Amino acid sequence: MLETSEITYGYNTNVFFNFPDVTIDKGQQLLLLGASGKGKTTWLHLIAGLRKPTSGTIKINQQSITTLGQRELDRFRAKNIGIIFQDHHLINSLSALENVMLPTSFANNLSDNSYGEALLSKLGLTERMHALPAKLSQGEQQRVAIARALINNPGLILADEPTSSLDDENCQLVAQLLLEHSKSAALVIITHDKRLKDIIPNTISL
Amino acid sequence: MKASGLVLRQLKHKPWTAVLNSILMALGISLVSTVWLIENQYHENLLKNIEGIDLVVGAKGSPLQIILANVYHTDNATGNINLLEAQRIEKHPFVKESIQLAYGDTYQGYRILGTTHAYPNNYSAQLKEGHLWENNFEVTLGHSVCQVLGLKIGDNFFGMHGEVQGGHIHEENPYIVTGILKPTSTILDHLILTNIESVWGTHDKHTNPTTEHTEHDEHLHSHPPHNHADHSNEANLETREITAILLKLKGDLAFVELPKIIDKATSMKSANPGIELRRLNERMSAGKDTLNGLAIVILVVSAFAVFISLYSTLRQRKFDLAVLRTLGAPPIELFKLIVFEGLIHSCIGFLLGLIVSRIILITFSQHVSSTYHYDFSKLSILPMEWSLLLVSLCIGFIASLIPAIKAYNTDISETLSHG
Repeated sequence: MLETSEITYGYNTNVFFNFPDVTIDKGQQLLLLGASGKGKTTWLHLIAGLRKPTSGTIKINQQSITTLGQRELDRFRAKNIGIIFQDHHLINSLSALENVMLPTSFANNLSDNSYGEALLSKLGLTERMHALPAKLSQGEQQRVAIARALINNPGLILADEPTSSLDDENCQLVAQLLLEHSKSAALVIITHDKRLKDIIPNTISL
Repeated sequence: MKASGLVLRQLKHKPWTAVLNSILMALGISLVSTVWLIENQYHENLLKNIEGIDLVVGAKGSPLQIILANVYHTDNATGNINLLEAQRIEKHPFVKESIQLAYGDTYQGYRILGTTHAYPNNYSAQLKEGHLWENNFEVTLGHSVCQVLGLKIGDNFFGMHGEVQGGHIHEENPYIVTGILKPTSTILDHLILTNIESVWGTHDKHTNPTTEHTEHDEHLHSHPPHNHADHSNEANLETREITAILLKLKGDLAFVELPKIIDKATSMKSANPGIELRRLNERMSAGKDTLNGLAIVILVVSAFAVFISLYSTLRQRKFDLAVLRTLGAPPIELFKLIVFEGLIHSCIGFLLGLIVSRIILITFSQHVSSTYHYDFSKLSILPMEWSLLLVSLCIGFIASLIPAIKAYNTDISETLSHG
């Protein structure tokens, strides 16, 4: 699903990253570990197509994303990549369900609410579907963000520090949720949280 | 849900922010719209009142005053004219129709006007109740008079001499209400009509006409030099006076020649309502221009206000926008989002502006109606007000352009990494 080879990225001559090659298939999980300043976020942005690498190739679903134009890349991202942010970044004026459904319009998918409702139900948010993010707890917001990343059935799910602000119990819970709901996709968790090592043994360190 | 949907949700989520951001725009729009509305209705009102009146003939004095006093009934008359002299003009071949007016008393600030049935007929007035005056001291009330004073058919009242409160009250002859007119949206609504003989009658019986005359020169008095008891019509006619005549002329030549004849060959003065109205408008155009200029300044400032509000919220929402991009939204969608928001500000500003201008107009109308006998009651949207919608949309678009371009060019990776 995801295949990178010899990608490098330089912000300037002093800050230059050489990233290890990564290959991961559907149904597999990968933990990308690294301390701050090791280029975790940069790697995530490169994979998501938000930055272009200085050199090297990135293939997602057999498609080299470094050769795509801006428009194609946006559409490709909407269809193939789901991103879960540390701070969720839900849109405040939209209900939980509407936040979840948002990516469907960008991927030109049919905006059928039933799949979003099913996803939220699976994540235990049946009762909270029409609540605004401000009315949701941190944990609930995170689950909405996960549902939003899954709505377009992406082949690749990127999770940026999904557990770093959580206690042990919730860390386990979120990790389980991610594993459970990303069975048909390749899941990459980018984190410095070593607790996840026990759950996802496949690890690469930056 | 695309950009437009997102903006509408944002609006629903925080409506007052949007309203606050649109307030300057609303102010500018309301100012322009109020000026237009007043101007429009003012013109309509003024024009309606001169309908069917080609020339007004009164005592020598300012033509504008003749028009204001005898057509709009807001100013004092320039004096009185001799009835016989007036009748000679009425019989002139240039004159098609003529209406005599004689000012008499007032009642509760409303003028009692002696005239003929031709006067209400000129404004196509219809009776709501009762009948037009037939005998002396019978009166027909204009619609507003009836509403404000609450008079009914059969009610009696005494006229007061002069317009100032505390003037002499003519207690000898009570007026009796025999008819009430339907609203006409003309000056007729604010008048009490009676026959000319009634006006004469009140003042003929006056015991001390000489002193009265010096105090209230502008009011109609008949001062028969002979004994008051003698009221033979023939004897009176020579000295009978009225206030003015309203003429309808025939033939184009009449408009040129008749005023010359009146002004040169008689002791009277003619005034053309159309010309005087135009002169009045010219005098007021400076004030109008100032208000329009002020409105333009406010609209320009409102453009900056929308720009600043969009620009500052853009800083706050940079992250949201970047997240939208990571969800697959193309940059053009973010551009549309910001522009659409600017246009929403425009629409709110436009709507608020229209509402405010109508509130101003209603308030203004209540004041003006009682003071100057004008009704500004039409609140429908003027065709030219739609151009204001266009103006406000342009302002919203221009003001949102720079923030929208900025949103379009957002570096998502940079924003997400550093906030």
